[in-house]
Amino acid sequence: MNLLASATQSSLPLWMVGAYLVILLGLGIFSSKLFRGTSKDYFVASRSIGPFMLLMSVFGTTMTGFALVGSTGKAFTTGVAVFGAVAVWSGIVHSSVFFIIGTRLWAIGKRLGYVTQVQFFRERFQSHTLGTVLFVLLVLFIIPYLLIGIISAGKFMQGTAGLDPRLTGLVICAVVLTYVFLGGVRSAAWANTFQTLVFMITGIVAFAMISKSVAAKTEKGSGTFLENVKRSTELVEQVKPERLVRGVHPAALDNHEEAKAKFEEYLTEKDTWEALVNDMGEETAATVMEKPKEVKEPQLKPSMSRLLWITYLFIPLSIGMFPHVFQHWLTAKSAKTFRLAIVGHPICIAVVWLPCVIIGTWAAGLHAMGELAVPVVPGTDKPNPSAVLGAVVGQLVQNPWLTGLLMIGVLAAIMSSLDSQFACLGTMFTNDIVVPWKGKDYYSDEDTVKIARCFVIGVVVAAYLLSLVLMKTASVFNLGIWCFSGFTALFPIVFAALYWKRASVMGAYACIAMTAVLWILWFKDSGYGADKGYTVLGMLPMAPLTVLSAVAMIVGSLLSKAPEERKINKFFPNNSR
Amino acid sequence: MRYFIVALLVSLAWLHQDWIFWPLLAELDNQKNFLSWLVAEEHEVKFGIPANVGFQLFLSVATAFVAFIAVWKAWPKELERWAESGGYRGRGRDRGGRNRSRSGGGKNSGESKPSNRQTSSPESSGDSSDRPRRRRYRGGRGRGGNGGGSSQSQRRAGE
Repeated sequence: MNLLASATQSSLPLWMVGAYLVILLGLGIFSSKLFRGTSKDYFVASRSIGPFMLLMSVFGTTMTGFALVGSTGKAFTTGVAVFGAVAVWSGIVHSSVFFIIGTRLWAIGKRLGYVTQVQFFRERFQSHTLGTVLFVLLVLFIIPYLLIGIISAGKFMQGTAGLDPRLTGLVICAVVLTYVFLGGVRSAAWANTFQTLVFMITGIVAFAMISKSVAAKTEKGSGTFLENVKRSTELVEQVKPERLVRGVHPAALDNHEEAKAKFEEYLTEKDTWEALVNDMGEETAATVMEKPKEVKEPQLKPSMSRLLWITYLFIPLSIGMFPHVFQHWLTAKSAKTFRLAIVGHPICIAVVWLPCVIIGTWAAGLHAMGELAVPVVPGTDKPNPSAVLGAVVGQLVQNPWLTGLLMIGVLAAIMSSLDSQFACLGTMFTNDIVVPWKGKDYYSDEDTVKIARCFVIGVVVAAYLLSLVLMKTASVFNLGIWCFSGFTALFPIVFAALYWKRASVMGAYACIAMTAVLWILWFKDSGYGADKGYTVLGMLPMAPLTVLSAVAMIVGSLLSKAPEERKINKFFPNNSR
Repeated sequence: MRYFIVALLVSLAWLHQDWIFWPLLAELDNQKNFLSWLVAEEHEVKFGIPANVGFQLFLSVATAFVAFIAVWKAWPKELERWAESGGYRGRGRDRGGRNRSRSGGGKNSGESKPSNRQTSSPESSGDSSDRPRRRRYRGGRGRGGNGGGSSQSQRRAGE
């Protein structure tokens, strides 16, 4: 009986994941019944998505598996600073971008009938070639991002349930393909809403259960929810205080003073030893005193430097250039639909990130106490940050329900980005390449939907096959992180296109050229992304990259011929009729 | 109002650089005052989380509040009207495309237009609208000496 119970318990998480995927598939199929059969519905859900679904779908699209697994791991290695640097900056910047970029692009998209970014840029800058160049860049930047999702899901399920990552990749690709194929962006929006709710709830439930388990390790034991949280954090304050501040913790300051005194003592002994060696040789000197053991100079470093903290501001700017977010913006029923997304986004980010960051710091404390074993990065003795959340759930809570819920949460976060990316790439290939190539009137509306569906299948199959090839290499992860820099560096193009009439095609080319050259240079310099802490003048590379690309945009535009006003007036609400 | 919103947003970004405030708060923390229950040093654990995280959480809520003021008081109402007034005229591709014969003449019948590769028309996106056509030509008012845009008005004048 016990054996049966344990067998059932051990397979419970997988059953939960299976049930979740079936529900998701059912929801996708149900939403596809609302599909109106037109290309407009397939690409932008007939611009009919309401406020709540827009908030959930855009939020779900921007939050990848990194929001749950990565944030915990980053807090484990860096501390609570990651919450302010990533989550709070994202709240401020995302809301601003939705307000100043999103609403405007929605209005232009609705007025002029666009469904992709490239269509807008081609018309705005009056250049088909620029659109093609941007198409290539956007696709190149988004593919590693997409592959990370498939590979992360595979590796996560392998680590937690021992599943073959190829099987996981196949299953999630098949589920996502089914509902995106049937209902396009409308189905993606429905599925994203469901998935976003799932991973938000997962974070909160995991936080409550883990706090109880961590508090149980303290002298006072577990109590109410608030007591558990307090006791768990106080535990970290005792054993790993530096994880609780962005700057330098006073306890770390004391430790530093001690280490500094030891280092000075070592220097004095070293001088004496060297003088003795000079006078009487090493052998005789060894009879007088022992050779001092080397002590390294202690360095008092904050968890995160101020400059680095500020330059994290640039990461969330990438949302302005994400093609899949652009497509979700266009699904809005009206400009007013954006209001909830603008107000609710910072709160949603905090709800997801805060529990995960706090769990990461608790894990650091427990690891320092020897109460938590975190799998190491292959080939090193360093703990693997990506394995922290799984280790916490597996070793501390040991509850199959929570393990199952966590698996569902991580898959939900990953799949909510994947579906939008698949739908977006299908839309881009159809509307930016095939339709302009054959002529605008060549295909009927039905044919356009068929082509888009074929491209969605092609993109999913290609992504899955690529993920199989790159499953065992870490370089795709490094590349994916750098791709964010690329999206951020292209942000000046969209901003200038919307707010600066003088912005010209040459300016856009200059911006792209600057981005490409510096991106390649610094990516190579960082060992092709291997150096995770790579900075340029103490800043994240994307900060100087974005500033310089913006300068190139301005200089390039000013030095070239201004665009004809009558051709671009239609993009500026105050000037068009 | 929009400048006020921008000022609030800049203030949020400035407040985000919290290291400026911790020395001041630490001084307040040492004094007995009505804020003593709340103010703390950066590393101090308050309500179960470090004070600096609590401050950043407060900033998230403040961001939502500023966003609320922005959408309430500085909402670009004209943008919606502008979008709705529409320059885009759908070509009714839902009904099979302007260039396709409904009686079997499809893409294999050789009726397709030559490819248009100068600029991709947004209309090729498949986005359709039921709004009727109003004017065939645009830019016909000859604003600001735009030679290219005055062709229609010149033609009419000639007539």
